[in-house]
Amino acid sequence: MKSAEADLIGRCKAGDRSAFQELVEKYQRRAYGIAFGMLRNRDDALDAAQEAFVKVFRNMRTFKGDSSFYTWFYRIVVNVCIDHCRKRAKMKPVEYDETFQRRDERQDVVPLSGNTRSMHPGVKFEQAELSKVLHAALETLSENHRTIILLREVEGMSYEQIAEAVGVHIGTVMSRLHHARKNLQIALKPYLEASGSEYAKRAGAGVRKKS
Amino acid sequence: MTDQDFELLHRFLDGELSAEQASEFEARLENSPELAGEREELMQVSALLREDISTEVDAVDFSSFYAGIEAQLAGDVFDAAEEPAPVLAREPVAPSLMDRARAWFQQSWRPLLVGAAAAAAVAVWIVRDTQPTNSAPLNGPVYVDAVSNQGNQTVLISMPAENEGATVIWLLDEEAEGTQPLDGEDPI
Repeated sequence: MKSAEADLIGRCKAGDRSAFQELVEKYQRRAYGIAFGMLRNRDDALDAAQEAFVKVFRNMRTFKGDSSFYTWFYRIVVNVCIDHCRKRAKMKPVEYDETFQRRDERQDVVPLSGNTRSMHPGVKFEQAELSKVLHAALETLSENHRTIILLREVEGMSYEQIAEAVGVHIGTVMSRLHHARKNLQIALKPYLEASGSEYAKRAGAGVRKKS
Repeated sequence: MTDQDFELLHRFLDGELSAEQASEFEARLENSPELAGEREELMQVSALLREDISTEVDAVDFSSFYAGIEAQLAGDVFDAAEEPAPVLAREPVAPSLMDRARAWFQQSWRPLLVGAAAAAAVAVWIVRDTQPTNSAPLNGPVYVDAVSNQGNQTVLISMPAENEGATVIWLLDEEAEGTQPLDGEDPI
């Protein structure tokens, strides 16, 4: 843990209200991003992110520092989101291939080519449409698969960090991640450009290597 | 593409391969259009997901976010100094002679005294109650034949006298809770 963050956590544990506010402001966007990815609804995601911070505050004294605050915090966010998902009972886990192969065969799905996106990068219609497609694709994933792909793709967490945050073995993380990615890939296939997409290039920049 | 290739591709994209493994895999990618195409699609999926979330986060106004949290924590103690002192477990102490005497009284004599008091109260009530009722009015006193203690209840049993044809059994709850004192409480 970085010393500045350790200091911030220490002040929060001591009941420093301004430190807690600082902590919230530091992590609120990230918490919201995960919550939105899980719940796909702005109001629900804001509620869940706030609830997660309330839990963080109430359980701050139980945080021992054995794990990083980062993973401890995400575990709380994920658990709150899963609770919200179950309350809404909107999650419909589907074994991959079955649904998407049918969708893949649909003729009415208009591909969003990478070139088109490059020519019109600010077109909101495309963004909204793509968001709907992603929403539908994510909703078909189970809570566990959705959690792991969001922690990896949105937060950029390593397998080890995800395993710690979710409380599963690294092998399980890999298995779920591969499964979730494959599902999304199949769902989004009609919208993907075979090669040369600007987004793919940007994503490629994020690939890191272990030293 | 084999399952092993698929796993290596994911680990490559996630930066989970060592530098040496990554170099080897990159060389394979250059010679395998199938593997390279798969990598391309997975990278696009990642990018689309990140962009979607990022766009959404940017669209949200967080100016009142903390205020919402604070409102939920309104009843919570923020200052550690205001937190109540933890309750410490007391060391077990051998009961004093007085405590043992109280416990003995509690267990042995108290139910009997309560039972006798209840019997006296019933007798007085019956004598005073001269109003006729629809349900088997009793004339004269009721004599208690037996007093029985059953747990928390004291039972007064009155067997019928000749020509009365009524049996009266009185159940009096002594206490809702057990008679054993809780830790730290006065036993009486």
